[in-house]
Amino acid sequence: MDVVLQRMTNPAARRILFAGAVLAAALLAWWMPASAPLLVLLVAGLGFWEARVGGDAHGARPAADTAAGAAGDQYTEDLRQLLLEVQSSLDTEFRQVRGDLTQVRELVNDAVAQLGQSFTAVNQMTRQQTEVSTEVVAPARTAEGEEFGVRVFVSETESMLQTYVDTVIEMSKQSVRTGASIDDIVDRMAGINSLLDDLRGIARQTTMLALNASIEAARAGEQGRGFAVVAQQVHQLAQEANTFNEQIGNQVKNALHLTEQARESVSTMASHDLTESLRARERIGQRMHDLQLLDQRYENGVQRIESLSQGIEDEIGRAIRALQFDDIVTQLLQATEYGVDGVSDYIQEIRQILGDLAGDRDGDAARGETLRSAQRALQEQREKREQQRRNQRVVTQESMQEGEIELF
Amino acid sequence: MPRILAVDDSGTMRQMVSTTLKEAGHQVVEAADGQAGLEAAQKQPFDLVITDINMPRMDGLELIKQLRALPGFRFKPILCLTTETRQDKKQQARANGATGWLVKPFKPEQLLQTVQKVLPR
Amino acid sequence: MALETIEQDNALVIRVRGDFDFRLHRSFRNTYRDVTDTSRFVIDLSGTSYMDSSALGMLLLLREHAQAHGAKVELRGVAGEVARIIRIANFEQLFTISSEN
Repeated sequence: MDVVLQRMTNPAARRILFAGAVLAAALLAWWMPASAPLLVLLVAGLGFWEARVGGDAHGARPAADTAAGAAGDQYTEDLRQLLLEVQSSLDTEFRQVRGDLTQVRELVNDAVAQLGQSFTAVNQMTRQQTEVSTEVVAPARTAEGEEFGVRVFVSETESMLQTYVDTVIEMSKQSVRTGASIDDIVDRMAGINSLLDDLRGIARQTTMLALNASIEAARAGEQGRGFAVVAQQVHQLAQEANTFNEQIGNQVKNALHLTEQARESVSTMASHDLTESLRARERIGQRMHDLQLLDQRYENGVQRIESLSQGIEDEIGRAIRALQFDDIVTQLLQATEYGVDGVSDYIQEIRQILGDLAGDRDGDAARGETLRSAQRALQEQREKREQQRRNQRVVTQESMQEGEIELF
Repeated sequence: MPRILAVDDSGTMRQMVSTTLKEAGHQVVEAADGQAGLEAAQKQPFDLVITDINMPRMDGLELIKQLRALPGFRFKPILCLTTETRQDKKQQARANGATGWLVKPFKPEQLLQTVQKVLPR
Repeated sequence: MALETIEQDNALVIRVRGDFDFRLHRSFRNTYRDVTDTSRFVIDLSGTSYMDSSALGMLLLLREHAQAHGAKVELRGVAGEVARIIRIANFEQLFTISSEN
């Protein structure tokens, strides 16, 4: 403690200490402008203390002062070296920080540029993907613009089958109608047969009549000869009628036989088993149902893809907003680089002051003047920096929320 | 297809603006600062200019002034898209003839809406 | 007998048992060909085990006869395989159809 006190009462040491305090205050003021008035007070207090203690020392003990002079110079030199060392270290740190900042800025720029390209590409590919999926599901079309595909094929098959069934039923109906006509014909044939029976009876009676007439003619002898010829002819006619009758009967029998054949054909034409058509139609119905389910699945799939794509697009929109941090951060980093440069300049200035102070050997008045002019210089520089800061761009964004829009 | 000139010294910003507008079917020409923007505008017509404010060589405020002096750009919409939030800059942009002021970052759909609003129909 | 006819509620009910095919065409026609004064023909198919296209043709001819005399045709007891045949023929559009007996 004694040593410290002694050093503190040593004017040269106090001088350097005061200069160090000014340097610290200046730096603090630069970093935190709000604390500036407080620091000014602090520095002023220190200055007052330096003036009083220094003045007393000179007034009361001039001999001791001279004696302490040699040792004081040594302290002064040591402290000066210490502060120069600090300053040089800070200088190195600042250079490092400056370099890091530049590197960060470049890395961020590069990474964001690549991210931007990636998002743009993802967006384009997502859109293409949606287009392709829609295209895949969309019904295929012929050159004439007509839809084709399984659905159309099945639908056409169904309509063909219906046409077939309708045709079969219509044919059956006409065949049944023909069957009824054949029944009617057969009934009429039966009528002809009974008429033929009547005719056969008449022929038989005619034959009998002719026979009786022949007998009667023979009995009459020569006078009945002519009558016998007539009876013979009547008998012949009756026989011919019978032959004719028989022929007609045979024709009718043939016709009945043919009619029976026609009835067979008509029966075949009328009778179609619809079971197979029924099964086919049910299978087609099932296929249509399956296809509808498949279509529904496709449609749901495409809708999902579309909604996912919309989601991706929204997310990319958000990414596009967020990636703009690059520009904002770049500006902030530039401002920081500028600030670091400013600190470097300050340090340069302070090094100059220290040099001047160390060189001042012409007493307190000269040192006081040096300090005052140094303070003025620092103040000037601070004001200059503040002015420059005012002209510098201001980045007030604190989040990546979208900024305001105003149309004039 | 509307032709839009996007001026910004940040490559990322140009890319984001460009992507957003191209998605919506606009044609976009990019310029890296006010000077390059002015040169592009002297070569070909545009339906809309979107410009940053703080840029090297020529800033956005000067670009707006220069564009308004070009015969083809006297009545074309010019939007400022900037990190800048200072009122004096905004007022100056307005005085120089800007149509609107958008603070970064922009939301793609909001940028598109604004562009749609100011584009001549 | 495969065919049975009953007069019921001012309707002629024709009941078809077993196979309804071409072999019945004559007797089926005979059940209605002379009936011109009824307002309804009811074909009861509840006892029908099989139908082919000729049965459908017969029903259509009955329908023509009925229409010519201002009467309607109703198919009753339509179920199972018979119902499926009736459906494939689109007879729902031509006849009143019920599954009840």
